[in-house]
Amino acid sequence: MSKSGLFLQEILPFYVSLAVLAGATLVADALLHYFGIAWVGRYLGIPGVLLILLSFGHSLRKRGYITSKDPARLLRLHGWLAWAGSLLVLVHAGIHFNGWLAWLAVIAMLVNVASGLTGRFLMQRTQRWLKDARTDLSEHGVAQEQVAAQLYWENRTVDLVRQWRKVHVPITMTFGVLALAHIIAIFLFWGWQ
Amino acid sequence: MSRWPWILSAVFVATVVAASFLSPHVMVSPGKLMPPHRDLEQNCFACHSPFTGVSDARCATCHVPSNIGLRSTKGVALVRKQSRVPFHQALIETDCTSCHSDHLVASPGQETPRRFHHLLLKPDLRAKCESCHTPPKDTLHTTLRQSTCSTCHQTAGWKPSSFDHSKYFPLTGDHNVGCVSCHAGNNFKTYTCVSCHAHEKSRMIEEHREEGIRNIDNCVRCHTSRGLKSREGSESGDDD
Repeated sequence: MSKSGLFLQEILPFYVSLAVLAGATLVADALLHYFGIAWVGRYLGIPGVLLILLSFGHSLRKRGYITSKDPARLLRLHGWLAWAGSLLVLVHAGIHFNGWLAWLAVIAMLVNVASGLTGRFLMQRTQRWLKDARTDLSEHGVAQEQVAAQLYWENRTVDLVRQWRKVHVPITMTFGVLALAHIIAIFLFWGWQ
Repeated sequence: MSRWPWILSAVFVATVVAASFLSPHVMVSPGKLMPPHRDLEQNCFACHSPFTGVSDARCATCHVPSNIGLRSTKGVALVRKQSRVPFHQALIETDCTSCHSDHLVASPGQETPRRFHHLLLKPDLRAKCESCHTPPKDTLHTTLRQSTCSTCHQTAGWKPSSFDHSKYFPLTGDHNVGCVSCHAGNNFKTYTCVSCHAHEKSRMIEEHREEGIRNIDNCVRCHTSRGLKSREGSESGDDD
C-alpha cells in the first residue's frame, strides 16, 4: 500500500468522521440561531439519547441478549446511530449550560465517539493486514501451521487491539452514568412546560 | 488488566456524582443566582420543587404578591421611586417564571431578565397605560385623552409608533426631517414651513392675494410635500 493509499484509506476517514461531526454540529447550531429557534436545541438531547440507546443493538447481540441474522448491519447501525445521536447531543450542548456535570457528560460522550471511531478503523486495519498476510503466505505455498507460526506476533498484536473493547465499554458506561445523572438532574429541577 | 478501566471509570463516576450532591451549585446549576439570592445557591430546593420546577408558592413565601413593590420581604415599607409603579397586585395570575429567571446565565430562547408581558396584567389595568407610564410632555400627547396610547403605540415598545403623519402631511423627500423643524418647541398644535422655506411675509401675502387667497397660515391646505395641489386634487410640482 502506498503512503497516499494508507492516508486516504486508513487515516483520512477517521479524521473526516470527527471533522464532519464537528462541522455538522456547527452548521445545525448556526441554522437554529439563524431561524431564531435556538430553544429547539434544549430538546434535541432527547432524540439524541434515544438514537444512542438504539445503537446498542450491536452490543446486545454481541452479548447474546438479542439475535440477528445480519450482525455486520448491526455494527454499521451502531456506528451511524451513535454518530447521529452524538450530533444531536452536541447541538443540545450548544444551549450553553454551565453545570460541570453536563459538560463532563458531553466530554465523556466525545471520548466515547473518538474511542469508537479509533476502534473501528484500528480493528479494520489490523484485521485486514493480517488477512492479507495470511493470504500472501498461503499463495506462496506456506503450510497453515507455518503461517500461524510466522504470524505469531501479528496474531498477538491483533488480539491486543481487540482488547480495545475493554477500554471502550467502560468509557461507554462512564458516559452513560454521567448522562443519566444529567437527565435525572434535569427532571429533578426543571419545570417541564 | 481488564479491571483497571472499570475501576478508573467507577472512581471517576463516583467522584462526579458525589460532587453533584455536595456542590450542586457548581455541578448542576445553570448559573449564579441574582445577588439577593446568593445565600440560596447551595439550597436548590429553596425554589425548586422536585420534578415540577420552580414553584410559585415557594417564591410567594418570601415575596408575598400583595407586598411586591410596596414592602420588602421583611415587611418594611418601601420608599417608592417615581419610575417604579407597583403592578404585581394587578397580575392575572402568580406565574413568577414568566418574567423572572433567577439564574444569571440565559439559555437561547430565554431572556435574562425575561421581558415583562403586558398580557399578564388584568385587562382594566392593561388599558390604563398612564398608571405605570408617564406620557410625554409635548402638546401632541398632553392634548390626547388618556388611555388612547394603543391607537399609535404597542406594548412591545414605544417605538415604532403607528402614528400616520401622512394623513396630515407626507414626510417624503426633503420633508423627512425631525419634528422640531416644523413643530417649534415640539408644539404639535401648530407648525411652520418657513423654517426651511424662507419667505418674505409681505411678499408672500401679496402673491397669495393675487390668487384670492387670504389665509396663508395653513400652508398644507394647498401645498403638499411634493408641490401645489391643483383644483382637481392633483399636484403641480411648483413648490416655493
